[in-house]
Amino acid sequence: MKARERMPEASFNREYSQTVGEITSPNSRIVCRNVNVYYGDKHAIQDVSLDIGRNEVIALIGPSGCGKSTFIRCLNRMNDTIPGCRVTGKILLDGQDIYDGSLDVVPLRAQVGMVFQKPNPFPKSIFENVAYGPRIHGLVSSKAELEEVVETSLRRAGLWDEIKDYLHQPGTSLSGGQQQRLCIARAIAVNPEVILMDEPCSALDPIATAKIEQLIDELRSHYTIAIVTHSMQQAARVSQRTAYFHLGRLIEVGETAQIFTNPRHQLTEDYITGRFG
Amino acid sequence: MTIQSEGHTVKRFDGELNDLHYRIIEMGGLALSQLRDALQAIKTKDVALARKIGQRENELDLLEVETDAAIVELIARRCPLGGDLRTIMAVSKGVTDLERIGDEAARVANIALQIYGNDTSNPNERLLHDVHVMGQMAVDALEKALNAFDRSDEEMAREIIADHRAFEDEFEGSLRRLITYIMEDSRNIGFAVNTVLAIKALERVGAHAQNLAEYVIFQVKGKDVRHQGP
Amino acid sequence: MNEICEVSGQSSGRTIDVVHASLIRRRRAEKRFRLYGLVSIVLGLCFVAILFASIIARGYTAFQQTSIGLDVYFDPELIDPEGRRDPVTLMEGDYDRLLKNTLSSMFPDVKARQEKGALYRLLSSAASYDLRDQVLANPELIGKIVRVWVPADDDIDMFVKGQLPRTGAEGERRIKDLQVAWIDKLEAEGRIEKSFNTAFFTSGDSREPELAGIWGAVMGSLFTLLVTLSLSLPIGMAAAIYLEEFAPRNRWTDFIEVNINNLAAVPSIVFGLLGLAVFINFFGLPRSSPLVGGLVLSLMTLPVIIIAGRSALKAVPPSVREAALGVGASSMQTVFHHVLPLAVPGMMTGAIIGMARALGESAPLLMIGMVAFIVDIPRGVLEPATVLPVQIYLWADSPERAFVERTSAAIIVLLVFLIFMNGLAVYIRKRFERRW
Repeated sequence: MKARERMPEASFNREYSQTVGEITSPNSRIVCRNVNVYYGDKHAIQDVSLDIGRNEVIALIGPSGCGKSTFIRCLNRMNDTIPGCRVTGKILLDGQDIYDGSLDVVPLRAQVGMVFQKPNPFPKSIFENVAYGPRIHGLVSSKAELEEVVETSLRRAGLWDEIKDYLHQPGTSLSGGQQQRLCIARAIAVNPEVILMDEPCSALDPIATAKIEQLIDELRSHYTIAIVTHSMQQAARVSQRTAYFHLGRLIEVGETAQIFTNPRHQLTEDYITGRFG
Repeated sequence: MTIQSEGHTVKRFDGELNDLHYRIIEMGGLALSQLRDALQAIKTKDVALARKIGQRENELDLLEVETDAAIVELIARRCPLGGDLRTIMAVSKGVTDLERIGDEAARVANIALQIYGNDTSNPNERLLHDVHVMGQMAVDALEKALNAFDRSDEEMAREIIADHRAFEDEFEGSLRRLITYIMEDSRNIGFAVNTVLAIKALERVGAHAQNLAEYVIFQVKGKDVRHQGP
Repeated sequence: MNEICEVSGQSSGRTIDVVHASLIRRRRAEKRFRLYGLVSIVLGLCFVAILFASIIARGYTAFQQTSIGLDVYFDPELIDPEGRRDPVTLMEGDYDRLLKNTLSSMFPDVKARQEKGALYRLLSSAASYDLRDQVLANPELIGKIVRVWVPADDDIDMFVKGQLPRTGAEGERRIKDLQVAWIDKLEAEGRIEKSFNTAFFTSGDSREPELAGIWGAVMGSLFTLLVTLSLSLPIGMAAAIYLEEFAPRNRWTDFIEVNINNLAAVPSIVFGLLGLAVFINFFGLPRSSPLVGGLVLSLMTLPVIIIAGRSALKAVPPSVREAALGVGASSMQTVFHHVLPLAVPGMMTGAIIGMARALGESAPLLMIGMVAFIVDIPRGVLEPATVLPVQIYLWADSPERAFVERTSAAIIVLLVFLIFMNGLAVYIRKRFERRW
């Protein structure tokens, strides 16, 4: 109820597609209301409303094809690159509608970084990988400054000590886990406010996964993080809130502990206990 | 326990959960029969029966150990979440309570042995009246709790918790009565102390039964109702 | 569940037998297929070997030229009557007479007019120009007797190289008995020598085979390819990048794509007709010029470059684009910083192969007049020129026996260029292809 009163516009007062749980966050940075995504005729996301708070890790779980990846790709408009993709509804980042026609996606993507499922470093040196973002956005004015940004980002990504002597080796020569951390370093080098992670550990071994999870935990104090994961254990480990998607709908959202011990919706219960999916 | 219309994708998980369920029901049955036998021994002055209870005590302990091992394995292998997690937690705790109930039953049986074992004068039957009444209440509560556990019946669990107040009242009443008996006739003291210990043990059984009921509520509702006023 | 287990358990023994039985058949089929492949490769290699062998066997002699050593008396009367060593006068000297006198003195018994004519025809008609050039370069020669090597006539050249018969009915031979005797005499005196045929590589076309060279055609090809490259590469790459990375997917782009693919399949002669109609008749560009040739070949190469470029761009994994877009690169930055560097080797390979095709193309150039007989070596894209394949076509058409080997030699040169270009394409692909 409180959430609805806070809605800036009357159109927000529609029914929230029966999402169970508190969709709002006390300190929200991203506000999504009635987001619908269509791929051509396919209705991929239906009426999703969700807030993502500051310094919060929100995990998006659900069976394959439930729209969780599609949803986070809406948050930095990566869906724009997909032909035939249409997004309706409102997504506000710090109060600014990111689907506003006048908004340029380039600064948006600098604000909302992304880490992909498969580690995808550029086929360039490690240094260049991290330096690329700050350089194109003109965040640094000198070479020394750039080097500092690269070092800080790599340190923050927990990679510096491992690779500081190989900065000019190609990024693709690293191991899978290192590559993924390099991608995280690349994302945080442009100093984003939000980091979206689309199954960042699905291609990694448990130790590399643990390192990424530790990293996510550390990054939480600086960034807002939304992570899509297929591993419920991972969602349980890294997130403060968890959202469960099913067939393009947001079924339930709540504190991670509550979702995993006492989900309120039968679909959530069935999914997390392994009764389908 | 909630048996979902739709089982787990991994069928073996269903089997293991069922197995766990039957274990706790079996333990409950054993604890219940121990308690009944102990009360029976007091009622019928059956020393042999009381002795048997002490021997069967081990069986219950063994079941507890086995069930705990099964729970640890289940957690390690299946990483249960949601309702499964709550079920397993409830079972894990229930097992401890049932084992304690078994202990209390053995304690009651011991008291029976002390009362009837050495050839002293016959005890005052009136004193034992409270033991019978409280024993019946404890047995009822335990039976009900086990039923609630078996069927994951939240309603029944709530009834048990509500009934527990009456049980506590009965316990306090018994204590007061025993005190009057002691004051009446100081020869009753030794006997009365045994009686107090017996009803105290029965009171514990009632408390454990209440715990079981609380676990059922936790299992079904995910709410911890322990340590809350009625 | 149990039934399935039982069934598979029962049949497991038989299954392996069935597998074994079919294995022999399968292995045999596999072997047969490998054999087919091997045979076709060997066959292909054979054809290539035969082609190369026949061309080289026929053409390698063209890289040598027979010359005849003559002790020429540089008679001042004939070439510098005024004795002033004035280049203008020297240019106009009667060098032909010098040669004729020399020959006459060497073979004093030749008196009859016809025989004299035959004697003089031992030498190339260009021999006198050689003398003149030598005198101009070194006027000291005047008044002296110096042994000079002058090119032999093409028939003599052929005869010395053993490609014209020595015996047989005299009437059917190009070299008569008398000439044979003279040649034998010259040879006995050590006056006949075969040396590297520099003229073949440095001069333009000529009616005289011993004077004809491919340099004019090589330059023509070079200018034509220069025009083609500078037009089709930027246009083709820009088109490929636009279509692949920026253009919206709709009916228009589909239509364009289909048409580009069609263009790649259009016979090249059609491009020649188009060039004739548009560039020469409509725009009035000079006929036979490498500019027009290059324009026509650009039209022909463009679809190849666009198609190769698009497939090279398509081969760049989308994850690279996502990564770049994800850190906030604009579409343009994504393409030029990340996608293009990965696609360039593939695009270049396509472009070089397109260029190689253009280099070997003759049909469209025939249409725009690059088939003309052009002696001068072109010095720019607007001068009339011919190209290597057309030169080959021209020579193959010529009746002189000596043009046969020159045709083959020109083919060898063309093949060397083509092999070099295709080799370059392979090298670029191997060297710059990046793994990701």
